[in-house]
Amino acid sequence: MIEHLRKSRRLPAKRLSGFGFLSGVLVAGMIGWVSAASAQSVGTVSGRITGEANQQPVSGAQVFIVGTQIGALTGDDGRYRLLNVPAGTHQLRAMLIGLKPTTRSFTVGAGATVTVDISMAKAALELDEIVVTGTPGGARQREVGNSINVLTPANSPEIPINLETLLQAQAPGMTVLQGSGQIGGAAQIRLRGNVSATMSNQPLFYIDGVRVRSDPYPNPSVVGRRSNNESQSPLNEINPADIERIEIIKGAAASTLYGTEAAAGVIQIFTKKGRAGRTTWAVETQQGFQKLQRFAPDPAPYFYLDPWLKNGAQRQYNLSVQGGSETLKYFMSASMEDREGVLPNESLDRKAVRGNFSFTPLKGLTLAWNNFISAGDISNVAGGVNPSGFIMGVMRQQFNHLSSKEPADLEKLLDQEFGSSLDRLNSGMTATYTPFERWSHRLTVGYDRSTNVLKRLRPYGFVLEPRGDLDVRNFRAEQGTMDYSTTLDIPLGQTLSTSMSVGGQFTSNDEQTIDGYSLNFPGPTNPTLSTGSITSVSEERLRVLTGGFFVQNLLRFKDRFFLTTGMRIDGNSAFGSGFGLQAYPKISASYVAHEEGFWNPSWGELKLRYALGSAGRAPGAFDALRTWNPAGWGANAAYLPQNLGNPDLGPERTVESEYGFDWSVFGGRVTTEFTRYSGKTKDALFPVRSIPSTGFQSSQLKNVGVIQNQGVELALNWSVLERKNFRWSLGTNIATNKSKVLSLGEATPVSLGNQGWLREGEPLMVIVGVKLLNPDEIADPIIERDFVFGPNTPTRIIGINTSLDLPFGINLSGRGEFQGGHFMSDGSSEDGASRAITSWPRCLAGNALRAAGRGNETTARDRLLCDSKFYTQGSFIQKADFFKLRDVTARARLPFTVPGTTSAFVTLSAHNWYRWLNDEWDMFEPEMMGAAEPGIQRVRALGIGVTPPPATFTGSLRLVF
Amino acid sequence: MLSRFVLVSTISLAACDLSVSNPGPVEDSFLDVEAAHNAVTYGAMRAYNSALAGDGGNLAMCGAVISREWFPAGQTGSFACSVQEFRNQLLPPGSDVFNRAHLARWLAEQGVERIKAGRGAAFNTYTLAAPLLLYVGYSNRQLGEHVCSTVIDGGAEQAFTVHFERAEAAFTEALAIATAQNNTALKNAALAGRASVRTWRKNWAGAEADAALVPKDFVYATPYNIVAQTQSNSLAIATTDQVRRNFSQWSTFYGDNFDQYKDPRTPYRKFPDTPFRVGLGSLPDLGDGRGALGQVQYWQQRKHIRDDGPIELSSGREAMLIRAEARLRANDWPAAMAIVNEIRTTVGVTTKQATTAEEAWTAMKLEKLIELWLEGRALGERRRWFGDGGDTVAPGALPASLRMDDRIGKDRCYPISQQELDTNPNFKTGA
Repeated sequence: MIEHLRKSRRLPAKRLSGFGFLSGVLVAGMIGWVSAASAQSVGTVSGRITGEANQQPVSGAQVFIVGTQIGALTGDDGRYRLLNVPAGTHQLRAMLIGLKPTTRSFTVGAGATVTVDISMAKAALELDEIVVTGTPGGARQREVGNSINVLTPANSPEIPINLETLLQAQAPGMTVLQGSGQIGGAAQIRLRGNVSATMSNQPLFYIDGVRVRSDPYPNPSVVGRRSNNESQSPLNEINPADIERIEIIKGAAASTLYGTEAAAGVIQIFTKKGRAGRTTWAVETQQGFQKLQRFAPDPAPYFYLDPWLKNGAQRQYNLSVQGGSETLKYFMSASMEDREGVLPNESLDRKAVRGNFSFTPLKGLTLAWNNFISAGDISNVAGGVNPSGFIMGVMRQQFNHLSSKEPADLEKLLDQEFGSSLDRLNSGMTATYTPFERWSHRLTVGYDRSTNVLKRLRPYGFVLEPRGDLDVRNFRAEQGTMDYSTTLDIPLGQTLSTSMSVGGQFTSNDEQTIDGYSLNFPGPTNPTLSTGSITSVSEERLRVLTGGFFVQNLLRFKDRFFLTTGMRIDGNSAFGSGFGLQAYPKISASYVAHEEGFWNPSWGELKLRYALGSAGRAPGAFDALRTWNPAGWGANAAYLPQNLGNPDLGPERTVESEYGFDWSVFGGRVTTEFTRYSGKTKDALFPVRSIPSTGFQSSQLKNVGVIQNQGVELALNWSVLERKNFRWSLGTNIATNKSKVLSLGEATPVSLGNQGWLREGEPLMVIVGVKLLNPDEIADPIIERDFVFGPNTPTRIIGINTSLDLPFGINLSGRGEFQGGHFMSDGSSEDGASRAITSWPRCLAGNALRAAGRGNETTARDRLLCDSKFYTQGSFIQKADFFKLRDVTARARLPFTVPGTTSAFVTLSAHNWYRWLNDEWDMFEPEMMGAAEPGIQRVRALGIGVTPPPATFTGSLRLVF
Repeated sequence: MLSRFVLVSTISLAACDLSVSNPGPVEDSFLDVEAAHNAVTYGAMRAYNSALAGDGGNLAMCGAVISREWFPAGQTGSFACSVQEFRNQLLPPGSDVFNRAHLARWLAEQGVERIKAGRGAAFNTYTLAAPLLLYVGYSNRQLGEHVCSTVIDGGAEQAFTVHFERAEAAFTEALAIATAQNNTALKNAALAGRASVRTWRKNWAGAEADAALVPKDFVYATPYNIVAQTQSNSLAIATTDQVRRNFSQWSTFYGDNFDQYKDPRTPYRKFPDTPFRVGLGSLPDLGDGRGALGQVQYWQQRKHIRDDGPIELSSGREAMLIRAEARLRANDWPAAMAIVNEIRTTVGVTTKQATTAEEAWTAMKLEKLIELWLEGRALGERRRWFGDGGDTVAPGALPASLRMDDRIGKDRCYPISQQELDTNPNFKTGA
């Protein structure tokens, strides 16, 4: 298969170099060996590759001599240099995804050096781009029947803060909603909305073929041991500067080969790899700051937090080296992050190193070994639902647990410690072996380990716990991946061929949580868990295994018609004992219409596609079992009912179809990608409530629900102007998502918290609450209870982007995002109102009138939201439409030469500095969740004791040597 | 070729052992092992405690708001009650009091069944047999005192009094086992418990006879723990000095009682310099003489001051007051007053005088409310005196601060939970 792909792309075959190249030390020897092979009958070819439209240098292009093994990649300045070229006339070819392959003829004499510059035109549709995700071993875009989005951050000028911000507004159908303004807070990532009511809706993440943890770390909130309630994301431990490319497949039709657990889609990250040729060093420094924007009306625009707010300094340093030979290639990087939040006690300090190596010891055999280690420490201010919390204490003013709003008193709430130590190890090895031209194998073995040691300390003498207490929670997650596939290409004639693929995958997920608690310290000390006179410990462990295999057949006709059929069969340790295996079939087709003879070139380039497939979502590790909780009672063991159990429990099985087209017109200046999808989950896991008088009172998951999910996705890119040194492009992504619970089965309508409900005939997680019918009237509120507001998940997402290339290597770019059509509950205001807290900024004016005996002059809205006499649970639901300018970046090549460098860029970038909120948001904003696990949380609501995500301003200087 | 691969792979996958036995949660069959029986028993006890005053159970805490044992001081949410309960408007239909109380009952009853099935006749010699049966009795008493009607194990709706039948049967069996095991404390608990449920069954002779056998200084209490907050006494946690001041003795009969008599059974202390806890100025007038709720000053109850403080289930003094009520119902009010004053003398407060049966009834009621203060019992007793158990309305007017006039026409008991209505096939309307 790989050989076939190479052939399709006409890549040079790998050089046979022999064995023994096991370390970087031997790289030098290798280079020496290659140099020694040079002879007097060879010459040198060098030159520069530029874009035809703007004459800008093209970096990373493959330049090689057709029919030989001689090739190299261009540097950041677009230059290349080929040594040991046999004297004579040759064809030099340049290739890069997004540009049309271009060939030039040249002649070089023995010992001579010739210059060959190539100008490459933009490719309209990137049909020969190889994608890997969702395919066995890889496929060309033209062969794939489902939509697949490919991001190339390495080619983007902007400075991403982390992976999650990098993904925002990048692909139609993908939403990345930030959690809060606290350092390290995880975002909620969704592809085509929610697919499950009870399981995680976070997509699966792979890094270089290795499954990694994508769900945020567990929420550290425990009743009685309150924490900052901020879930950190393991995804943000990945340094964005290491990322070469990201592939995103959405929906079950695309993710069938990933089987159980893949119904929410798959995102695969490919990190940078070594390049044969000159060793390239890159060093980058990023400096910036975060700034909180106002989020409440006057006179308390920062909700009384003003005395403690600051601009949080942001610093990051990246260093990388890239190089190698045809036999051994390497990419190594190191990074240091040092970030401060906008509130006291908020900081992040992280260091990460990566080493990616590929080794080709034999013709047809490549071993790739990718490793990543990071270690970080995060400190958070005491936020969240926390009686001792600083943010909540300030927001509640004199109604807090100190009964004081004096800054000197509130300052005492900062005398506590919330720390997270995050360590990550990710290592994977992929062996690709092609013993024959038409037969390839790929084996990936990987391991991903993420740990989070969370510490919460209220020291001896702390104002609200004078005895002091300490909570340490050690969470460890390990994921193992073993993935094998083999593909055999079989020609069936001049125009017909087939590729048969089979393979298997095994993943394991182990999690362990050990939580220790210590209370009542003997005196001022730097305590450990052993210090307190009262201590306790708890431990949780679970393991989930998934094993499956697949078969797939790809039929090609004239390299224009493609038909793919396949099936994956899975077993999973979380399935009920009576369930057995689950099968996920798929079929897809694509048609490259513009390569037909009848096609008029003025019609542009067109690919039609269709896919139908299924994927699943496994239940939790214990969901199928009837279990008891060994809860303990004092010093005695005690059993309490836990889970009723369901031996027939299986995965949710989503069947989805999608169809669409990729169309390019006007010479490739306008490209369109359109997809319509429609999915149905017939075995949706819904909580079926138990009869409480029969003992087991928690709901039992059953495969009883039916969910429908459908929408359209449109990506439109327009190259408005293309001139030498001047280029302007515009793009937009439009996506809709409409879900509906078609049947609850035997489940009854159930509240999922935060005013979110599962109800038949309504969107998945519909927001239901109290509707105020006379908001502006000077009267008592007239309300309608049990009012159905609408979905909790955005139904309309519009992304816009633009890029402007100017002379002197200056680039300006920006992207923004609108999300709307959804509703969410303002849990923070609900909390305040339920406690009759009168200091809520929106309530100050009305409360003043009430205190003066003029409460009858206030509006119905003010009375409902601010006067506890009218407090009604569920009254704080708001339309959540918003727009944010996710990124604005200006990048320029330094106007002077830095000695020793090949290129130098300075970049200024701003994230989320502009936002538009709909009229219902006089306080807070829709991207404040907090106090939740974004991956698992099904109903998104505004959290208590959190601040909005701040704007970030960053400048960077990047030098390449 | 391909079909062979699929077949072989399917068979291999099916044969592949993907089963995992995760540690932690215990599979149901493990509970049948004799070594697990203690944990089964303690689980039932813990569930009772949780329903009463722990781990989110708010029967004692919020029932005390309705029965005027303390006053809401603003905080809602954790270790507090709903705004509706604070407004004293209703017992929320969504309240899980019904569910938690039934969990305690079910665990105790199925525990007895499970252990009897495992041990056979040896059940009677099992050390924890009598305690487990006592919790069958107490959990049924808890339900009987608080639910308006009930169901047993997913059955049809029944009168709440069925719980008193089950409780009496369990106390009787516990009494027999404790007697056989020569365990005086458990025997007294069984007698005191049975006496209390016989008052609901209008078996006053039987109640008086049982109560007479209980020593005056006897106390049987359910313990709480500080191992975890979920096992602690939520009445104490809800009224800690600093973090939570969710309930106040301000404007309560119990506060007045302490002020007047320095009664050690209703201790509290004032925090005069502390700012008012939370303003609830807009809550409606309760119509009971206290006027509209203004800002509530924090007067901390001092009965439950430790997170691991126990809560009494039965006592000798409660048994004495059962005897006093039996005397009143026999129109022997001087004897009833004598018992009341015997108690008051014992605890060191001045005696009371009565000149009529009505006054004696009032004295007995107040004494019993003092004895049962913040034990999750007062609401049930007052309900019984309202005649909810089928008896006549008891005489004996109560002071204004204890009036529950606003409850006339409102619930004095917890309805069948919405979850039971939605899921129990006997209630089709909610399905």
